Amino acid sequence: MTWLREQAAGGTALDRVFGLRPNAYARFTELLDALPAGGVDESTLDACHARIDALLRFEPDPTTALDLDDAQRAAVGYAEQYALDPHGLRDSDFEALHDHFTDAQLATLTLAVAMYDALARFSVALEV
Amino acid sequence: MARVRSPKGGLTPFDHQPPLWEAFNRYYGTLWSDGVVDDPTKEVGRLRNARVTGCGICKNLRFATAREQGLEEEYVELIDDAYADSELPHRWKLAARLADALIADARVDGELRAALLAEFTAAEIVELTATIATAIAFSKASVAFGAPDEMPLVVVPTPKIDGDVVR
Repeated sequence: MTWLREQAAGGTALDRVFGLRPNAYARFTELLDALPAGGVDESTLDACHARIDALLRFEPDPTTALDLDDAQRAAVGYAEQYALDPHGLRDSDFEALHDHFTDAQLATLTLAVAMYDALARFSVALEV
Repeated sequence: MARVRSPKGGLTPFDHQPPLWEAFNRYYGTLWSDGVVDDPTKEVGRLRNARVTGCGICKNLRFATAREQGLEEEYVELIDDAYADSELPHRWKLAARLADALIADARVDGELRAALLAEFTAAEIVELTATIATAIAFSKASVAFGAPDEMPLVVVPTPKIDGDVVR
């Protein structure tokens, strides 16, 4: 339950909090909805989202129970390092990512991971 | 060689995905240009992140409207690790504190909550949090892609809903 003293109308906790800035929330939702069209399969994006959300909430890694292939594991590893410490990413990490993803797909994956990181931090901070 | 190459004629790897890049620009531009929080306050949060995260591009960019509205360079220099004891206005210190909390583990303690609630409306807190959280997350892309540690200071247009994004 958020610590904010006002909430917007809405069906979810995020609707009620982010909905206090309806235009920004609408644009954010449009961006999230557009991500699967960027050439990375939705299950990979979902796994990255779940991993980052759990990281910020100090919850167990939900992706360990998933049957992920090598590309998906590489994407989740990238998401984890990106959220925790992007300075820790090395040229060799990107060489490995390129075994599975094109530059265009890595652009999508990076934008997705960034937005999942932003959403998780926003949600934890405001207790959404 | 770049860790993630930009397409031919593109400026960033995100130019590989024009619809997504445009969607991001619309979102970030809405936070900045269709908002309820003054630009200097949001800029202090963005710049605090840039310094802590160590994004060489972000920390040397200045959004024009924030500067026009009073965030002069003499104030920017105060957004260092001693900002709490600086002459920065209270409101700006709160933005920097919120940025520090978001960067660390995103927990906002009771004292900071009370201070934010005393200074800002709920809608303003949402906008400030979303803007800083997005700046944090997006600045990591520059770091991940291997951007240079430093670049010259540049004043750029504040992101607009239909404009180009700047980190």
